[in-house]
Amino acid sequence: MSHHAPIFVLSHYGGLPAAFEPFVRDGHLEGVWEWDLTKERIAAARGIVLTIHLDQLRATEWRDELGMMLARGGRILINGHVEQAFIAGVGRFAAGGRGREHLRLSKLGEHPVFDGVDRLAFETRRGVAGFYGRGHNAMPDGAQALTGVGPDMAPLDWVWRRTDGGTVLSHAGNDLWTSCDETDVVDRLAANIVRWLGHKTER
Amino acid sequence: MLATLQPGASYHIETFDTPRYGKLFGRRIRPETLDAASLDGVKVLLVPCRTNPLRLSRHWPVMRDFLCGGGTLVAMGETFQNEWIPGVSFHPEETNYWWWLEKGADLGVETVARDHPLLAGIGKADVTWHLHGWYDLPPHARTLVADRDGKALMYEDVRSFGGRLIVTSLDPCYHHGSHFMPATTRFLDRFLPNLAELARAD
Repeated sequence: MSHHAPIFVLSHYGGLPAAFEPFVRDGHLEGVWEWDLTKERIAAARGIVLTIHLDQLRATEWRDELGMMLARGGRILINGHVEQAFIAGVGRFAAGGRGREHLRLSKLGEHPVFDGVDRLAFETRRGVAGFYGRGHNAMPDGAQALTGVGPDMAPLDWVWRRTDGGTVLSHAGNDLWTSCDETDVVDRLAANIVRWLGHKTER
Repeated sequence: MLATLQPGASYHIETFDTPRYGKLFGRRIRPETLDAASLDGVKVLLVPCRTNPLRLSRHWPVMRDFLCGGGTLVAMGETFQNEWIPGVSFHPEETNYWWWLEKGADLGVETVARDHPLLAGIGKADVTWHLHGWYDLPPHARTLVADRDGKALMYEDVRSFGGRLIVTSLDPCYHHGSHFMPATTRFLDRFLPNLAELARAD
């Protein structure tokens, strides 16, 4: 396994979100522009975070390397809606209903990325629901639902601890760290994500 | 022919590769493969919202030649056109997602060029979701959509490069393709067919 820091794949204009900058300065995370990312870097990475702005057509070219990275025990956080099969076993996004009841969040499981964070508080921002997520990415066999959305508690967040190595954490909404306005919560989420990607917490 | 760049984010795929709008586009071009040959037969080229300008800057000469040849280039919001189109002066503004929570609130966005074929069938409610910024209007350009102070949120420039350049800070594909904000879907329901019609007529 490479000793490189986990990779934050930069897709949107404007660079790294501010909450992650301290970890880059400390060498615990590296921001890499998606068109500078090589297949070799992906295959050797310990952890990768992908945003809702990822070029998924480019990511399909990384499918083999993402699979290799996982098989070596790597960890991937997917933010956003999966529309292309860039990770084997992870299916496409399915939108939920648009009514208020379809935006209700349920806590279904624990995960280190949510340590000290009240996910249910993300159901609304200033009274408005829907920012956190409005559907789910198809959950692979053997994955565990973490956060449900809507009356059927569709798995908006899930973790897939693969039996053949590696872990995928899926959040089918806007980037996790944009879920709320409170800086301390955003900082906590960013720290949890970096620690998890760096194998400092449980799968 | 109407063509679009396909930058490949989920919301671009949902917007351009599904039946609702997919049939309007004769070609989808990856930004990295944009060249003169890829624009052969194209009359209108859409650069969808949130295409990273880092993927556009080096292809500007191709788009400039396309404009010079009489083409129509439509560059949508959050592509930071000032980074890749010479002469564009953009003033970003903090996005207020909450303006509508106040009773009777009005974001103040208006379609000021109602006779323009690109805005056919598009009313105030269809351009109202939120603001990302406004532009200084180049000499001879025409404001198509404005904010409450009359500042340009979409303008047409048929003089600077030849052809027709449409610049806007509206970002409908991102929201439509993220299954959020129905006004953006209403906007695209009209705007994209209007673009296709323009491509047929030009």
